[in-house]
Amino acid sequence: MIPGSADSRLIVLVEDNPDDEALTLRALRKNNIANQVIVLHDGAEALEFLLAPDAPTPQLVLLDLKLPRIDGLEVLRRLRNEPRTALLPIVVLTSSTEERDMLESYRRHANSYIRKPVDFEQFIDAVRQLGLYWLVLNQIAPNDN
Amino acid sequence: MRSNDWSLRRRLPLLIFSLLAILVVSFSWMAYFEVKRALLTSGSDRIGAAGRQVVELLGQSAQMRLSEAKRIAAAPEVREAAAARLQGIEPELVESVNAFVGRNPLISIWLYDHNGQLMGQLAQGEQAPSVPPLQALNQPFTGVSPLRVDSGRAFYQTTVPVPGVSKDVPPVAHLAILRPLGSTQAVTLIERLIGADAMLKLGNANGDNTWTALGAPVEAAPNTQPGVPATYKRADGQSRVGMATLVPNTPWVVWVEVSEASMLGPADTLLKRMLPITIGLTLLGVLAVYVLGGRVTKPLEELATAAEAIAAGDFSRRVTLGRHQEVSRLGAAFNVMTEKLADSRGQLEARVEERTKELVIARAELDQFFLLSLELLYIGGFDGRFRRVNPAWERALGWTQADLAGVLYLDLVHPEDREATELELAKLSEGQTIMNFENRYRTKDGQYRWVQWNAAPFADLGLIYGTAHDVTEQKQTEAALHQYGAELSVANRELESFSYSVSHDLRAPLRSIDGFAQALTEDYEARLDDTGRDYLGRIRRNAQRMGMLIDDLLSLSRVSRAELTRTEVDLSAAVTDIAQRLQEMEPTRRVEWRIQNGVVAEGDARLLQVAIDNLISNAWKFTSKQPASIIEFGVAAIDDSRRAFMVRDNGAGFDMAHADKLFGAFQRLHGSTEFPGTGVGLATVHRIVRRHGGRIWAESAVGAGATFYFTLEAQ
Repeated sequence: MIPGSADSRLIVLVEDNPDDEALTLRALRKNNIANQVIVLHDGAEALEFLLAPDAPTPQLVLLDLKLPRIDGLEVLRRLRNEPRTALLPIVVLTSSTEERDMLESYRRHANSYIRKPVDFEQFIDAVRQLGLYWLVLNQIAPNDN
Repeated sequence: MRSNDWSLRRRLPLLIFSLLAILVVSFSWMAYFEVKRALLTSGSDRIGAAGRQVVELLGQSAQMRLSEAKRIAAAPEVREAAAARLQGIEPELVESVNAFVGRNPLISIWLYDHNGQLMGQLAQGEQAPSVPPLQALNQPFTGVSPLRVDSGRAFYQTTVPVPGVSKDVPPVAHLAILRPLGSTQAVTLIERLIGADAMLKLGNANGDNTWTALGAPVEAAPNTQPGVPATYKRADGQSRVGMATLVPNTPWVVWVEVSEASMLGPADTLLKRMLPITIGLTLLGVLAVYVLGGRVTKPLEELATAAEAIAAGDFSRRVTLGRHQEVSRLGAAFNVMTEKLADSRGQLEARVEERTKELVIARAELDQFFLLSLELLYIGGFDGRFRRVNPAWERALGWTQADLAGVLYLDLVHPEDREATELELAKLSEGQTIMNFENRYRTKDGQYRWVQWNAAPFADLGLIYGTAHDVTEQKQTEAALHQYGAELSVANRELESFSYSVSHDLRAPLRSIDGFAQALTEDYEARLDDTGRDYLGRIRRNAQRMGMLIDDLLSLSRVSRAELTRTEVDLSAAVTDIAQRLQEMEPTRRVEWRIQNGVVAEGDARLLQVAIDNLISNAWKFTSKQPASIIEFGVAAIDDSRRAFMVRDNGAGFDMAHADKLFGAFQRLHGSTEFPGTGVGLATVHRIVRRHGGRIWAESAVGAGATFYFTLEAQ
């Protein structure tokens, strides 16, 4: 893995709930998304990984908001403050449809805000579209480091 | 009533009398003097004329006497006697002389020598007075001599030279005839000539005061210039007018005089006659003025009396003034004036009465309000003391008018509020109005109440007018409200965090349940029989339904919490939008949309979107079993003046008996197998409408469709 390279096709999933983790991974698998997925279980861990000097540049970060230690919005703010991760594609993936969550996420420059549906089939569909868009169609910003 | 003043009626005749008297007197005097002057002139002319005639007569007479003397002197025996110087000649001898003397017995004839010395008598008339002749003649020796008076008679001499006995002998003597002046015949003639009232005097021009009335001597006439009339006063005091005229050929002067009284008699007569006439005329004039003045002043008096009556307040008084134009005009004008005066006085009185009534009413109103007011009303002085308070004070604070009159406001103020109160009082005395000032005020039973004050100064009177009311309860309520508000905001924050947790934490397990049930179905399908798969299906459906319930509840709570921002919202566009969306989701359904264009509402755009979404989705849902669905949106008249937004469908409808449950949360009028739903949608709409201050209601019957009406403003 070459640090800073965008073609690592790495997906970072920040999710504290093991059930959700399992279901998300299952949904990815069901959609035949075979990218490497690194799961980080709280905000601190996510920041430690993503802001590490030798950290890889993931193709997509899936970020839950309700996280232990450091919550998702704070993670988002710190990543955006860091030049290296300022343009990283970060999709907020959460249970909430609270307005303030959405507004805050976008204010901190989340690239997208996806609500996890209760219906698992809908969830699989959402993940499929997510993968299609962010992993296939989307061109990520060139790393200017 | 005016004893000191003379009325016009008395003054006018007096004035006229004075004027007339002055006029008449001056006219009379002028006439008198004119007549007198004329009489003097004519009298003078008359005596002048008389004098001239007498003089002419006397002159001629003197000439005749001279001729007569010359004739006698020319007689030869006279010449001879003269030449002989009367020596040896007897007077009887001179025949012609004696003949002449015989005819005129009053004369005597004498001879003088050439020196004028008396030589002797030539003849003596029988009746000739024994008057001695002049002893010597003055030069010239010829002519008529001045008059001489002797023994009560006047005499004069006519002297002529006696020629010589022959032509070559010069005259050596003069002949003088001495005779008395005048005869009875001549006097009568002259008296006739000058008139009986006149008097004639004959005197010498040399001024020796020898005067005679053609015979007898008389009082001397004044020595005046001849031909000029003169007045003098006689010794007996009588005034006489006379004129002197010289007699030609003689040294005499004639004086003709008349008594001034007789001459000016007509003037006095005139004056005497004029006097009663003028007095009579004057009196007549005064009488006429008095009578006429009465006619003029009577209306004036009437006017004056009427004016006095009006001044005393009797406006009914009118005057009826006579036929004279000015006076009747005056009367008419006076009457008009009086009417106008009465009219305006009446109006004024009515207005005063009206104003008084208004004032009484205003006063009564003020008093009533003062007594009835729930507000504490008071009047105070700049000295900081109460003057008057209304009964509300007793009800609110226990103080009566008697308690507070003269009390300092500050004495009743809570010690902690005194400083602030003094500041406000200072503002008042500077002329400022104070509004909504609050302090604690002592009640009669010693407690303190919060009182709010408004007061305005009236500097001219040094008074303060104020109102106040007890705001203690309001303050308590405010405090309580503040408390409730704080509690409410805590509750809200709690609710918020509750919703947040629900949103995040309640759905996650459901997702897991559904997800793993699905995984189980997929991964272990072979090991599950139909019952097992059915159970897993039920687990998933319930998990999903639970998810929907949670979503709807969150949505409902969001509607309650969201801030309301009113803008103009195009409801027609929103309905059209939703209709399209629904149609796209179920393209096979045939629905007839009847959407009124341009329906605009004032409201929160997002909340109205939610409401319209719910209502239209409902209609869509409940018409799903109709072969031909009709969904209608528009504005409907609910009565004459009010309008409501309306959503109508021809769907399943509902029983109006359950209409009260329609808008409650989780209330459903249909089984969920019949029509899916959580029963939260209409509750959400209801809440949105209520938050806008509007109202929502429905009309329906089972199988006959339903119509929802809503308004967005309080009606």
